[in-house]
Amino acid sequence: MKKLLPLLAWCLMLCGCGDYRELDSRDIVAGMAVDRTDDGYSLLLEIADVTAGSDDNPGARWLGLQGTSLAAAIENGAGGTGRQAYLGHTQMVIVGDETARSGIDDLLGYFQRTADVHMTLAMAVADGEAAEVYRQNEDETHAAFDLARAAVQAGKTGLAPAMPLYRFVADRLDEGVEGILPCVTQTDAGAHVTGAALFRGDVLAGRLDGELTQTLLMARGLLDRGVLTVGGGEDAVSFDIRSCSVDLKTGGQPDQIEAQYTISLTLELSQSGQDGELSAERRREYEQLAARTVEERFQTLCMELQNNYRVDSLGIGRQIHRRDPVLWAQVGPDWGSAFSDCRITAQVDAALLGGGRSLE
Amino acid sequence: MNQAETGRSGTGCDDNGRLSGRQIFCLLVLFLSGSVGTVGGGGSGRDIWLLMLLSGVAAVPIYWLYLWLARAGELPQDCFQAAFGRWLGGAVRLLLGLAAILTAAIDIRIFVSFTTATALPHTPRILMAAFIGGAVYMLLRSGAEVLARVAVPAFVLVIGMLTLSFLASIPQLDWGAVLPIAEKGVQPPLGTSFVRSSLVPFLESFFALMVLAPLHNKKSGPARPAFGAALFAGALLALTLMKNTMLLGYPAVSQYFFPSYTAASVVTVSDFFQRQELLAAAPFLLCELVKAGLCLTYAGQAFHVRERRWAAPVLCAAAVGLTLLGRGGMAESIEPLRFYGQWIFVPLLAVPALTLLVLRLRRRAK
Repeated sequence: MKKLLPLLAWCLMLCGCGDYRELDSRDIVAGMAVDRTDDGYSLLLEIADVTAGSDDNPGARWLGLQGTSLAAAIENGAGGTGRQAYLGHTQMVIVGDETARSGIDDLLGYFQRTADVHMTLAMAVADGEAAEVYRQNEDETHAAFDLARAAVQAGKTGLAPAMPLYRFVADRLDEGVEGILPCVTQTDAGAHVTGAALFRGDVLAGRLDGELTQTLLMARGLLDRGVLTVGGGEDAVSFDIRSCSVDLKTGGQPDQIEAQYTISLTLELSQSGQDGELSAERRREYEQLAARTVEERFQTLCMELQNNYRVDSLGIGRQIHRRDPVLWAQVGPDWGSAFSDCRITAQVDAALLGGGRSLE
Repeated sequence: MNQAETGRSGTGCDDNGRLSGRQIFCLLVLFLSGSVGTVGGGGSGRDIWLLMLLSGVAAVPIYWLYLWLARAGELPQDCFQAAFGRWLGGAVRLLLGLAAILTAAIDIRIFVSFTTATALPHTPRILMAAFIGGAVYMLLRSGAEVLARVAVPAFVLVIGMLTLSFLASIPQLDWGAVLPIAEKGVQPPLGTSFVRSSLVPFLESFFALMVLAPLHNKKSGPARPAFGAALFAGALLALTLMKNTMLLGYPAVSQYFFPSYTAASVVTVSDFFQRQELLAAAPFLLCELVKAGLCLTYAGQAFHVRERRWAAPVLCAAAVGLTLLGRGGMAESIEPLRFYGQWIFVPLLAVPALTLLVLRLRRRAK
């Protein structure tokens, strides 16, 4: 037994040697832009450059790759740089608009199968070519990290959906719901994460602006907090959303599905054009204003989803499937049409806590 | 490894070198939890958690059967020869011994596949198989009592890690993901999925019970800890499978090779507390080790090998050798394994039930 102990110890120490790689033999990919070409794929990778910058603030460099497949494109990078790409720290993958419109199941499959890739990876859809987003931000040393953080913050405030890879895959595969991803929009001030990209299956079907995205996230119960603004300029009234809860009741007949949303908001007054103390009457007025605004936006959202894009991004079908599988068995096979004819209503209850630390 | 050799003094067991009920309970739960990494994947269905719960309940009468057989003779293996005669009974005993080696080999293969898929894709499989083979060898040389000594702290560690993982995942759970329950009625879940996915781990604990039951102290029988372990493990596995479905969604959860590991990897409590794969991997690997060790311990008893030092290397080598067969999954390499979930019922349920029937008829005839 004593003679075997060293052998076992060797086994323990040798187990990982086949996978050992020096740090400088790997390209640590912080971000990835994916565009499909006629021949395959074009990738732009942001590589964290640990030799540049400081310990706390490493630099970045860019690597353009082409290949007939994603895996081939990434392997081609190793042939050019002598380093193997490591995707374990990839923060964000941006998909080009044209690429998303032709379907992204191949990307999803690649990321699911690759052991390095973390399933909490953030994905987003660019409003044009994905590589342009990073090219426009070449001077930024951490474009991918900054964009990933922006996506997280946008998700918390409702400007864009926070949609890690595993959650998008879950929606993609589930019945009665379509996946959504955040949009990355290029402006003069740089890249912004705002709005939602709506998918029908794995194909990009349309986009929503920031306001409707916030309403969509409210309805899906994905909104933590945010800012609800009514009007603009001097007359704008803004509320901080402290909490948002939603209750969805579905029912009806196969030829007329009904969905009743009850959205409860807890708000705090943030900005108002009116002076004076926040009286009970004024408080009620603001609550009704907030509720009315959200209800109007909700109706606009439903019109977009049911008539323009015909995608159930709300997940009404999933709710029916979960709560009433008998009804779902009847409407599920042709849910796209049934959703468009669905009668969707919303009742919004807004409660105004106060004006923050001000009495007015 | 006969019964006489297994008794030792100063083993830390409660009474005269025997195992306490608590140790048997902990060992059985660890044995059953060795299946948690793979149950729930491969298209087993949304209701797999419910099936696991039902399997825990269904395992109680099955355990009663196993424990009855374990008491039927001086040694657990004697019951087969008592029922079927020297030659046929010996053949049954050998068949069960081979089934135990196969189960251990599958276990080790799962360990190797898990490590390859999640962490070390380029490390040669033979190295990893040799490592766990070595650990199992040490368990076999030491005996079940040594394993029992660490059973309780290992149990606490495993349950603690699983509990921590579950608590950390609560904010991210989609509680409705397990709905609808029994969408297509009761019959489909009780078909092949039930057999293959949920009841097999409890059937495999035949090997553990045959090893542990004779070692139990005589204050009370091993039935209570065994039944308790079946119910507890059923609930634990059900909860784990529910958590996986609520985190990863259905049918997405069925796409992952090791859903518990993937589910743990997506849990984020804060920027600091992320990537909790260790909380899923460590318990899984520890439980796999316990399972492989107990299966091969039974195999040694089934082959009536008296000297542990000769049996241990041979059995480990056999299991590791089977593990390394073929390039793809073991099911592709060994044709009978494609239907493992069906034919394993023959040695682990049909044969014990038949043995019980024959022994009872013989006793009645006397």
